[in-house]
Amino acid sequence: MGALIEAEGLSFAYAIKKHGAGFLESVFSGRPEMFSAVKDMNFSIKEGELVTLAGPGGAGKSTLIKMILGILAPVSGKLSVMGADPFKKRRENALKTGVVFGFRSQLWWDLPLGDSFTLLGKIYRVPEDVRLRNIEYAKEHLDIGDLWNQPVRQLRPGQRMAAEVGAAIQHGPKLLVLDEPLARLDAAARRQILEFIKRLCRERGTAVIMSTRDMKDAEDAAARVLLIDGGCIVADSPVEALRQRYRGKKTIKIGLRTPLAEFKAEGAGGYPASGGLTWNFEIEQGGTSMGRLIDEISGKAEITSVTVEEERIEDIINDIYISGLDGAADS
Amino acid sequence: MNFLRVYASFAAFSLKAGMKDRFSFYAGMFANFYSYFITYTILWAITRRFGGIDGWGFEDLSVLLGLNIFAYAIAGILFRYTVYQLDNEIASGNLDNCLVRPMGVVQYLACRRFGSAFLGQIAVTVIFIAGALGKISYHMTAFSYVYLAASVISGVLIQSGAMLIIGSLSFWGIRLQKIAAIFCGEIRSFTDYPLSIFPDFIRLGLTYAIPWAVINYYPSLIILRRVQTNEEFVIGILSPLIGVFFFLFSLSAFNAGLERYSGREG
Repeated sequence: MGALIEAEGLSFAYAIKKHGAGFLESVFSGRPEMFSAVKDMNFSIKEGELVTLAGPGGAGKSTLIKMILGILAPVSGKLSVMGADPFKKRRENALKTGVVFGFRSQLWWDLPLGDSFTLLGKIYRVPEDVRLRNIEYAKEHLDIGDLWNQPVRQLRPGQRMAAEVGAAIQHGPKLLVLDEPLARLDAAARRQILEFIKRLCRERGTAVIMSTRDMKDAEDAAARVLLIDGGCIVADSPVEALRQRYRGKKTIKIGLRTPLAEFKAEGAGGYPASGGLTWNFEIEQGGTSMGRLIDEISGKAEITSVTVEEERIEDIINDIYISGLDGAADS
Repeated sequence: MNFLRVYASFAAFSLKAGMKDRFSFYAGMFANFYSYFITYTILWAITRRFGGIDGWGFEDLSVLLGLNIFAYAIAGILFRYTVYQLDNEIASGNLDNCLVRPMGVVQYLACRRFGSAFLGQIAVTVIFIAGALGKISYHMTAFSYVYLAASVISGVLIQSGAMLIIGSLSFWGIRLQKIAAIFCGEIRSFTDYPLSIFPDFIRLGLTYAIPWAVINYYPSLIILRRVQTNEEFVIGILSPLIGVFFFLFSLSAFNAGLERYSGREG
């Protein structure tokens, strides 16, 4: 399969007006400063490939997606989407692209869901037999059949996202782009959307690009991850390589009613804080279970609170900066 | 042509959905109907009491006012809640939704929100214009009716163009809603009356600076056979064309703003 998207030296900068500190300065200055949101990115994505863009907020994921969709024009470098300049051929490419924005709906808020699908079918000029076939596919695998006559504004977040994804594939796109689609969903809804995306790649050969701030989503979704930070691609690798880094480390904070000066748990490095009233443990995948840890410590002192923190994507990226992807395998 | 198909479906779906939410749907329409009904009633009372305004009777004034209101209503249905309030679309990120569709941005914005409340304005205007034309039918020829239709379209294009220009300013970070209300509201209301009653600089400003008079005053002079100067005749006859050019100009301004939004211009 050929490359659907090719980027070479791709860069984008926003002009930001900064006002001076004093009154006169703020009135008469306001010269724009250029902020580089995407810097010299090089990558390609094949037809039928599933790629996750992972990175913290402000990393440049959405800016990159907007360039792929032709919303923004690069300031330098080359970008080809389906063999064309996406900015110059925005409307032509749009006919072959499906888009889902996680934080804003593209459906018609006051209309029944079915009417939104009908309107999109006319906008994309989809032949009726193709449209109905794709609707059945979406209804079957996204459970949106029962929602057909409900106004979009009455759908729950998980239902709405399923509807957005279904609407995005109604015209049978070659490329599906999802910008943080899982951000506000519960576990069941996330699983449903991820399973559908993977099925779409597998059964229909649709290329999918999904952005996320959650490393767990990247891990669950993709064969390949582009890790982005500060406008740069920090890592471009199969998810397995990143799994070496992201070992499912968790930090568990246990609050105690009485201070505990010393405590040792098997398979979990721990240290006290607040004079022994709080204990912090780092548990790795395959190490001691949280339940066992809590059992052991509760035998020594009464527990008042338990907080669990996942390893942050920023820490993973920091690790990669320091020791590189290969450094993970050695540690 | 595809836009017309899409818009027809959108309008039908919006009306159907609106009628299910009966109270707010009909309340909005009634409020608009009532507001302009009062305006017509006041005009009727004035002309009945004082015998007209500068020789314009109630029927003549109904045509003059009606062309203005009707054109604004159509433009409002299409663009009042989206293009005119483009700063909200930009700030919320909704403009990106428009840019991922295989149709023009302005066309797609027209298909996002249906200004159903303006139907009230259309209803009251149709009633009074039809009544007026029925009473002054001796003025009307086949050409008059064709010209009337062309004038309405031109008026819609000018009103829509004005909304596009005001919305486009948002691309440059300029939020002019309050000032726009003055230009689109208060200043435009001069043209609810025959401009011959005002100092000439007002007529000139509303002809050559901001073409509100082209929406209804000059077409009314043609339809009601009140043309007195060559200038009035030429502008009146050309008003449909002026509307087209004004709309094309406003589209250019909008597209220039869109280029800036996309980072192609500084």
